Amino acid sequence: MNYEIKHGPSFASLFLNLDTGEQVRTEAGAMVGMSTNLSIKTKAYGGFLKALIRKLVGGESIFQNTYTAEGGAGEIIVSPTLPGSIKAKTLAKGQTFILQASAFLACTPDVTLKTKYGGLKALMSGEGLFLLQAGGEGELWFNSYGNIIEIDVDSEYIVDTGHIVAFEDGLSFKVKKIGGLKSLVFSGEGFVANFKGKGKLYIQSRTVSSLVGWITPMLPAR
Amino acid sequence: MKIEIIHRPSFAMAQVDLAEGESFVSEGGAMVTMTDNINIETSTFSRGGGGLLKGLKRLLTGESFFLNKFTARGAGHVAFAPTLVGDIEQITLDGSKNLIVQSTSYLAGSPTLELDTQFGGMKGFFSGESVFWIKISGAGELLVNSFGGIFAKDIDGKFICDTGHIVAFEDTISYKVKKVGGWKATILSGEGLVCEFEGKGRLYMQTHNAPEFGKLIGGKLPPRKQ
Amino acid sequence: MKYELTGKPDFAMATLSLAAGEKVTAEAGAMVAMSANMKIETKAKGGLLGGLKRALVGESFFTNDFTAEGDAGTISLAPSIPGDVEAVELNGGTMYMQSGAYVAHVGNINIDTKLNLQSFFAGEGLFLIKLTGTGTVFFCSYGGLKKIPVAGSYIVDTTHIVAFQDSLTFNVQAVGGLKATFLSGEGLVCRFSGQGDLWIQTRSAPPFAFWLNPFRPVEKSNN
Repeated sequence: MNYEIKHGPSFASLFLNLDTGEQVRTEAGAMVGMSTNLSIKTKAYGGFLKALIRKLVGGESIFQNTYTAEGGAGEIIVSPTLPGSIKAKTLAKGQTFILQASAFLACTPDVTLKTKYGGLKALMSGEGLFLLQAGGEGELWFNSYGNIIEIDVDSEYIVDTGHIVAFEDGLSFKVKKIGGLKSLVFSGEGFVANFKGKGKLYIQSRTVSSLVGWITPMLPAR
Repeated sequence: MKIEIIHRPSFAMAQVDLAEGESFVSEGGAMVTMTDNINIETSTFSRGGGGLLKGLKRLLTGESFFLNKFTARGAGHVAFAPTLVGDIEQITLDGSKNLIVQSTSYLAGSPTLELDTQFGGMKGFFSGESVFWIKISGAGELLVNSFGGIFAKDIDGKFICDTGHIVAFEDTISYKVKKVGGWKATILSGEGLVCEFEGKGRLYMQTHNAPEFGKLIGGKLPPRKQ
Repeated sequence: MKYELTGKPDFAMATLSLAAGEKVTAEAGAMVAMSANMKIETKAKGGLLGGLKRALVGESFFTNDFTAEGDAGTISLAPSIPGDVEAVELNGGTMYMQSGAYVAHVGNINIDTKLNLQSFFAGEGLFLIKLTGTGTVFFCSYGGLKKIPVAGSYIVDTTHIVAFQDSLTFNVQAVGGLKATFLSGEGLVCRFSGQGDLWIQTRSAPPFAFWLNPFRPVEKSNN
């Protein structure tokens, strides 16, 4: 299998070439185009109930599609719904990688995904800080709304919760309110995540909630 | 005439430089800036225009009914941009092939191009999606826009494309609208209907799907009255 | 203060490096990430009345002051919208800006609202703010930014105006004849005259809002 990420950083799209028998798993609805010899199987990954939980808490589609190249090589083009960037993460056995549920785009079949509870404060943050824990081995592709900026955290760093995309397992975080009470209510910043430890942190330069906040006053009168 | 496209693929804008007497046609509302020596003429589709009712229906789907023709009184320029974020591609048509363009992807073109919205075919497409198709023939420069990055694929055989990602295609390739996979896959896979292209010719695709983006953002907006 | 603009023009972001004690004022919600020693203070800039005036022009009611405490600090700021960010140095001069384009400033800058007198502008949802003083101003756009050095006259669709120097005068007018004005979809345009810099954006908000409208959930009537 080989892949290329094109049209980034604003409309990144994943172009994959599969050899005979090779498979890739994607979130439902992500396929742009593909060769006619790719078969598709749809599953509620992780069993129906677990997938339902992921949908309710993560906003991620409960269905995933597994594409297999049958009887020859094949290509498939996969895109997320939101404009933004795509990054690849190679997972080795024993490694875990945490990502925002809405950031999952595609992975090779031996990568596992589990829901990870972001904590009560994360829930309250309203940004939907619902996390997935990726494990197993293989390749994982994740996407963002906006650019992905990679930060090497080396002790401590503060990020607005809506801007978190993913982070390596050497990092832990605590959700806190920013500044004093007045700041909390009016600052527009709301909750932030205080990261501690050593590892890579991936953030996005925009949030869907601020796009919604910006366009709402301009909508035609009801 | 010279065309320059900046800020690709995310916020593309096309500047068309015109010599005295030269013209360019665009969909209504596409003009961003222009030099102070350009005349604008507004006209409706006259070729196969389809009558008032069909035109009104298009207005409801958000597509402008009207075309503007910009004519330079002296050397000058007009810059065009579409409504949505995304790309613009310049396609040079030499008259030997027709191009079928998704209605929301048509941005602007030379006045020598003919636009036909009433040509036969395109049945079975996009039930429920408010999109219509324009057949573009003749020779000249065409500007198409997309939601996402635009890329071309030269088909020689068969290729499957999700319907929401089609920008334009040469009419030398034929298409069939199909379900993806089996019954379960069609309902649950999120892919819905796909288009299987066959033949030899060029297909222009966009990386992203505008109605899906609209549904995702729209679902988070305050409700509206019916 | 040093700054770096990244991600232009798609999802531009400004990352500022502040010396100990230096301060940046930013619109509410603009902070993406920052070092742990940045202190935040929320203010209604210009007192309550100033904040109210700004709320009328669509700018957030509150701005935040971020100060690097005890040591140098970094802070990354981004606007809410997809698009570009640019920095302009004001050296005692004045520039006009579309409300909503303001992101942040460092230095001694006075922000004043100037409701445009021509009612046509208001109909297009275009309100201007005036910035005067000395310092660095960060502003954003919906879409990519293009700087146009005007020398003579130039025409811009009003919803695509971002900012311009006060050496330019402007005039809002109908495009073409009567039929063209109503039917062309262009509506009103702005003719800039004089000599100075003008910044335009390659996308505009009202058509995007109009396009999004049908995707909103429909209100259920409870009768």
